[in-house]
Amino acid sequence: MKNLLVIFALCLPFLSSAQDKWVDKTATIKFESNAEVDDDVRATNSQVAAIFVPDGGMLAFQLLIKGFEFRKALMQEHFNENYMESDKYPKARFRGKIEGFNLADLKDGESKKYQVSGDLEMRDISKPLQTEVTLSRKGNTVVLTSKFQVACADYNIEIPNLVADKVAKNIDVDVRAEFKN
Amino acid sequence: MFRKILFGILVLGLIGGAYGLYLFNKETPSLRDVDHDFKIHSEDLFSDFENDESLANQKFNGKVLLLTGKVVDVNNKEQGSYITLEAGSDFGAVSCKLDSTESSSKVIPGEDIQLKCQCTGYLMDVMLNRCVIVD
Repeated sequence: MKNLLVIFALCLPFLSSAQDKWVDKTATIKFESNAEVDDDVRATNSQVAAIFVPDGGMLAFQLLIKGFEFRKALMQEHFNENYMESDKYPKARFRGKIEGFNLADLKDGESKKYQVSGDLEMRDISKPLQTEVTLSRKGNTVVLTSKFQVACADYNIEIPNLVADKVAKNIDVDVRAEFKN
Repeated sequence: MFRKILFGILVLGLIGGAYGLYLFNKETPSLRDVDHDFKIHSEDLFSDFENDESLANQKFNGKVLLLTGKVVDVNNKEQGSYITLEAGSDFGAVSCKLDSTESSSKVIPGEDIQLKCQCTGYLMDVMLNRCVIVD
């Protein structure tokens, strides 16, 4: 009996931290290149793994580069092979923290804006990222939305001169996650 | 003679240009019209990724799989429908996102299913997209 109590006491912190992780395995990240010439350079990945820990406001996103779906087949091929080299660098990650977040302050049916700071890692390069997120609470679901830009040059993504007017230097990124407890 | 050569070059240029334009604008095809590279059970696929992710990535990433397995869950969201298949492990599953042209209305949890999907890799689960239901 005493041993059982010891095991229970040891497991308690892990049990409580497991309860505090809110997860969305089907979060969506879209990106779009709003270049001078509109060439339909946009794609969506709807299988993004996202974790939110309200206690401390920790956020983590992870996605597979090959999970981005384009309308045009050739564009998807070039994106994977020439720009992102997705066989060599198959994943992208973000780890960050929502500044000043307290779950008790976010009432049911309410939306609030917060600042997030963290690191975005792609192609084995990690760069700091700061952006604004909107969080809204609906029962036991917290919906996160955010828009920000990523500079291709920060991640050594080279844009050939031939398509320089069709691919923007800064890519617009749109994030949506529905975290459930 | 010179005119004929010039005309020939012009015709070839037009054909090449038209073919290039066709390739550039060609939409990503439905996997229904694509032959599969591997036929595999969802539990074997998960096991391959769990045992050696790097090797499984080399073998399966970007490839079209004819996948069989037991449906664990069906999730319809605004951005599409997802079918989760049994992985034979407590630590993950096989997550299949249906092609936008497919409907999950006849997919029932607990039943076996056959899907044709493209493998994109491994996060917490093995991920596949562009899935079509094979009768």
